[in-house]
Amino acid sequence: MGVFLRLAWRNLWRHRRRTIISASAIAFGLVCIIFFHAFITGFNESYIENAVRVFMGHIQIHHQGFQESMNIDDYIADPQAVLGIVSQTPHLQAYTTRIKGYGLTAIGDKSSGVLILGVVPEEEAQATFIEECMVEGKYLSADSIGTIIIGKGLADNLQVKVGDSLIIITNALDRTTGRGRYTVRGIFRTNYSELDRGAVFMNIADAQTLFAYDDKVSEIALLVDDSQNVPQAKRFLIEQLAQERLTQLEVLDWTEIAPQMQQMVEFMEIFLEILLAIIILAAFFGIFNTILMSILGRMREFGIMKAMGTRPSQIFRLIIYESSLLGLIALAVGAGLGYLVTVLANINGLDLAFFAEGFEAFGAITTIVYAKLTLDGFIFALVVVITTTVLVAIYPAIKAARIKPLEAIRYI
Amino acid sequence: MKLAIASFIIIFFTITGFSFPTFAIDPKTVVTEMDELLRGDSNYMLITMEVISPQFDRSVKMESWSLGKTKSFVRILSPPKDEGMGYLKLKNNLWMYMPDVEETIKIPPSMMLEPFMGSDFTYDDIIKESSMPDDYYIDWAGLGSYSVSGYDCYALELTPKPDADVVWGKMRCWVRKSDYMPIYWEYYDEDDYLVRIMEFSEFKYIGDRTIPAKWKMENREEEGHITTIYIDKAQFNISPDESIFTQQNLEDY
Repeated sequence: MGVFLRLAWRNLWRHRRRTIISASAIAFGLVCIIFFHAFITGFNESYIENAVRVFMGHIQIHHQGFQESMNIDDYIADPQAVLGIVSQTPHLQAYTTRIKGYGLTAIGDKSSGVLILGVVPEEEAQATFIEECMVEGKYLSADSIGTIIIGKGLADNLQVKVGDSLIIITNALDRTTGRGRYTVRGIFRTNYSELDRGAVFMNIADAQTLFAYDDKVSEIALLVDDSQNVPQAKRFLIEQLAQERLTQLEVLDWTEIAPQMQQMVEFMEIFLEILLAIIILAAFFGIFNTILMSILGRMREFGIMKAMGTRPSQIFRLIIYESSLLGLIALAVGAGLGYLVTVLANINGLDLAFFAEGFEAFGAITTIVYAKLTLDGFIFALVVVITTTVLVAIYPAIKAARIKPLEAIRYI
Repeated sequence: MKLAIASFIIIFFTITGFSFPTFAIDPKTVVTEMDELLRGDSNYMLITMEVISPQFDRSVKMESWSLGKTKSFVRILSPPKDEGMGYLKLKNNLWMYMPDVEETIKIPPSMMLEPFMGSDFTYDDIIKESSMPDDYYIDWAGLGSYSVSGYDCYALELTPKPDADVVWGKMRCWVRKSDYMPIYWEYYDEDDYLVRIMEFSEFKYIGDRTIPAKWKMENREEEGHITTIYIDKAQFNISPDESIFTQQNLEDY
C-alpha cells in the first residue's frame, strides 16, 4: 500500500498545474456549498429575527381569543399581576405592554383604517426595532402625550408630514366613539407594508384615554435571548399563569402569531435543499470532468505500467488514492476558504440592496443578510465533497485498470 | 282539437290558480308602503337609543332630519361626552363632526357598516338615505297569513340587489296586513345565518301617523347585545330647510 500511496502523491505533483486546477475546481464547489448553506440559514434566522424584533416579540400574551377577534372587550384586566410573572420568565430579554385596536385615522376628506398601538415608549424601544426605524422626526417619549408616530406609507397616503395633526377615531370600551387629535411626531419605515401603511404608535396613556381602557392593556409581548428558548419560556408562562388562576389568558409564540412566517421558513428550507442539490450536482460533474480528463490523458502511462507487470487492481488503487489525495488537498483549501468567506459574510453581511424591491415582500428591515455557519452545515459540505471526489474516480479508474497495454501505448 | 285546447286552458288555469294563490297586492308595494310609513318624504325624529351589552349599558339621545333619498343629518344630544357630534350624509358621502377636536372628517364607505356608537346598528342603519325597495329584490317569503305578536302579517323575503351597499345576505320582514306596519324583521348574513332580529312595538300616533315607537334590535352574533331605539318625537313630510344638510350646519354647534 505504501508504495502506491507514495506513487499517487508523486503523480499529483508531477503534473503540478493540472493538480492545482483540479483541486481548485473541487475547492470552489466546496466553498459554494458551505457558503450557500450558511447564507440560507442566516437568511431564515434574520427573517424570523426581523419580524420578531420589528413588532411581534417571540411570545405574546392576550386575553383568550384576542389574537383572532381583536375585540376591544378582550383585554388583560390586571396587567400588573401578569407582568409579575413575565418578569421572571427564563431567558427573558425584554418585554413590552401594549394597547392594540383598529380605528380610523383621517384628516379632511382623506382617511385610512389603521391599527392603533399604544405603547410604553422605553419598553417598546428595548423590545423592538421601532425606534431605529424612524426616518423622519422623533420617536415617542414618556411625555409625548397627544403625539403619534406613523408609517411612511400611511404618511404618503394621507399626505401628512411631521408636525401635521391627524384625527383618530375608534370604538371605545365604554361604547362611545373614542376620538382625538394627534400631532405627527415622527415617521417610521419598517419595510413591513402592513405596519408602514397601516399602523399608528402612540403613548399608552393616550391609548388608554382613546379606548377608555384605564389601566387595562391588550397585549404583553416578550423577547427572549434566543429563538431556541421560546418553548421553555412559553411553558413557564403557561404554568405560572395557570397557578395564579389567570387562565383567561392566551400565550402564543411567533409561529402561532404569524403562521405565514413559519410557512415562509419551511419554504426557504425546501428552497435551500433544491439549491444545494443543484450546487452539488454541478460540483459533481465539475470534479468528474477534471478527474476523467486527467486520467484519460495518462492512458499511455497506465499502459506502460501494465506492460511492466502492474496488476489492474493496483492501477485502480493508485487512481483512487490519487483522487482521494486530491480531494483532501481541495478539502483543506476549500474548507479554509469557505470558512473565511462565510465568516466575512457573517461579520459584514451581504447587502442585497439590488433585490430590495423583492425583499419588501419578505419584510426585511434591512437588505443585509448575515450568513450563519453551522457545524452541521460545515461537516455536511465536507462529507459531500470528499465522497463525490472518490466516487467520480471509480469509473475512470476501472477504465484505466482494464486497459490493454498495447492499445494504451498506441492510445495517443 | 278546439275541445282539447279549451280543456287544456281550463286545466292550466285551475292548476296554476291552485298552486299560486296570489294576494291582490304586489310584494313590492307592501315594502314600499312600509318604507313610506317609517320615513315619509322627509322627517324629523327625536330618538333615544339604549345599548345593552354584558360589559356596558348606555343611552344616547339624538335628533335626525332626512329629506328625500339623498340627504340625512344626525346630531347627538347626550351623553355629555358625545354631545354635539354630528353626521351629515349627502348621496354616498358621510361626514362626521366632532366638536371637541373641532374637526370634520369624511367617513369611508368601508366604515358605514361598522357599529354606530357601540350599538348593534351600523352607521348605515342609522344614517340611511336609500330605501328598501331601492336596495332589495322583494318577494313573498311564503303565502297565506302569518300571525306574529298577535297580528295578521304578510311575510316577505328581501334579497339585496347586486350593486346595493348592503351588509346582509338576506332579510325577512313580517308586515301587518291592515296598515303595512313593520312587526318583525330578521337579518341574515351571507352564509344564511340569522344574525339580527328586530322587533317593533308600542305602536303610537306620532306626528301625522301611527308608527312603532320602540324598535328592539337583538344581536345574535354577540350574546346579550341588545339595542333599543325609542322614537320620542317624530314629524313627517315637514320639508326641512335645505340649509340643515350643509357642512356649515354640521360644524355649527
